[in-house]
Amino acid sequence: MRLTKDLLSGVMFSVFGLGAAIIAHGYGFGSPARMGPGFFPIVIGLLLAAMGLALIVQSLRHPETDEPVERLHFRPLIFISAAIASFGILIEERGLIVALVALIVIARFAGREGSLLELAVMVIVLIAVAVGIFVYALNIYLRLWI
Amino acid sequence: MSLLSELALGFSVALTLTNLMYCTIGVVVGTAIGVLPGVGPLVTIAVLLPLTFGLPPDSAMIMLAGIYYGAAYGGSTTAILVNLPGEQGAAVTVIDGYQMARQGRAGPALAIAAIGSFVAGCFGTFLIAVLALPLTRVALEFGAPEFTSLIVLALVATAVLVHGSMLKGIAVALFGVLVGLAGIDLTSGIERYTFGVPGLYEGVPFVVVAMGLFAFAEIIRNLEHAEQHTAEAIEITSLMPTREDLKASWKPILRGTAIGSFFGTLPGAGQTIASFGAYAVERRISKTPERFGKGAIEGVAAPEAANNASAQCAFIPTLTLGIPGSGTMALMLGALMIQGVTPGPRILTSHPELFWGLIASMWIGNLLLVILNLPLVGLWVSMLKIPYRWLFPIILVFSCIGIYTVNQSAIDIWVMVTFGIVGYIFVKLECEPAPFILGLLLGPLLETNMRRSLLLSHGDFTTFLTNPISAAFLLAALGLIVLMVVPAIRRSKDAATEEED
Repeated sequence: MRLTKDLLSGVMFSVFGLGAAIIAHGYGFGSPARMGPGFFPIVIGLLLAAMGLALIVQSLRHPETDEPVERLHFRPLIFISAAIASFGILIEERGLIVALVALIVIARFAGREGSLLELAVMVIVLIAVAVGIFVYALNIYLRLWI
Repeated sequence: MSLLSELALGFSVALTLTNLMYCTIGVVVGTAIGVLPGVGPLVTIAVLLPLTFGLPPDSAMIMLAGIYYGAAYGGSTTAILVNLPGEQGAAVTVIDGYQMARQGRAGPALAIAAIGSFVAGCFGTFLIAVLALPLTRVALEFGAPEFTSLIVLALVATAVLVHGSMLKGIAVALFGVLVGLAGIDLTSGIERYTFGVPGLYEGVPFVVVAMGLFAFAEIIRNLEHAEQHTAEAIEITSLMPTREDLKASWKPILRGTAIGSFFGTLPGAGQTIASFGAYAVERRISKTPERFGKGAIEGVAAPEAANNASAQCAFIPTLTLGIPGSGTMALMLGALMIQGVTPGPRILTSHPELFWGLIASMWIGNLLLVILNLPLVGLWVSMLKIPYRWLFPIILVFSCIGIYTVNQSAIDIWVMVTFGIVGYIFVKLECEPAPFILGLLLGPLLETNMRRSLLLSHGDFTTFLTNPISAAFLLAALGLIVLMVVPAIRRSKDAATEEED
């Protein structure tokens, strides 16, 4: 079976919808007149699952309309996620400046172009701009160093 | 109060030195964004939202609105000069605009686009001002069933009219609604979908999701391919359109404005459909349709006017009903809510200075765009030479600091990474993320109104059909779905939205 866009979206939406409905089952359904906290999520979850199912059926009945998924590019995905995650950790542990250096340097590996000098200039300029705007112009409390 | 005194109040707000400054910053940044390919208005507003939290609500909205319509305006410059639409609404301007530029008529094309956008922007703003009072008066009469059905209509319209498959659009919107329910249920006090994460008690932070879904996913998509070097821009000799140009364009500008205003007011339709619609109308009624695609000035004037008119008119349902018609409008609404302003029909009485100040600032902003843009064309074109490897770190720095400052919490950063990955999966599966953000924002509102309606009707679902206004909204939603199933109409929608990406 080919991994196609509609098929995979259908599977994803069905799983999410069903999962959400099952979790919401524990919240209490109530009745239409007195909707419990689970009522609306179950209805929406089942509707979502129905949409997912419709996508799966459509893809199986008309495979010619469904395109295969393009290649996933893990390099930018991993490095950008890692860059943002390190920012999140470092800003609480080491302060804004270290966090920004990590963010920009790690993100650099997501692409393939540009020299080291360019990277160094970017780090310095961006930190200066960010500190200038957020800390001095907008007066937001951010610790620069910890 | 009469319209005139309301407008006087608006101008007194918009003309203060600080607000004039924020308006100028907004339109300049917006135009720059419109020019840069790969950085859309949605991303920009998402990234700059946190910057506005410290501002008073009127200044924040004035700046964000400036970014929004500035971008609608700026996209045409690159469309004409380098054959690249800077933002989706300008996709159709590329066809005849670039041909005009190649024939040495780049100047007149830019000037007509500017004039058309200005006329349309003024008319759109005028329409908001005129329609605001009567519309809110009607909306104030709305009870829970009407609002429930109106929200359903807004969600269906956005989901159905978005690029790509209708099923996916609806599924994405429903998914957004579900995520919007996360947090403590206000009626019962029960935690839903929080998975024990303390930061999620108050719900999934809207700005953070928007930033992950749009900014993060777009950066990764742009980095997938090696950098593309943009084509050389065409030189501009003279900006002045000839008398014939003006004579040929004024009617298309007016028609484009009308078409754009109509589609802009409808939830979900948006700028792309408006500008393609206007282009198609011009080609159909032209005595010389063969000139289209070869540098017809009508092919620039009408879609540019439609694009800007619909950008302005999208504020009508957003501000008066509190129901946004597009992803960008949902973000604006989210910004308002973060500022502590409840959008909806009461905004005119509770925050008149904000509402009328925003409207007055749109007039000023549109004027600023004409004054600033034509002389600055050279600057905009040189911005195209900025490589993407410089742009994305800037976006990352602003979004990370911005998100962190919202709640000073690192959990938000993790939420952003999560939704960034969701956004990337959406891109790969060709699911448009805009309905998600709308569902996220409107989901809790939909539940509250539905709960209230059913409580009042003792659980009788026919309450949504026996109420005439509610029934009309539901019928419209159903009609949209049926229309999209008709193959011929679906094909023309596909044609109109295929260049959106």
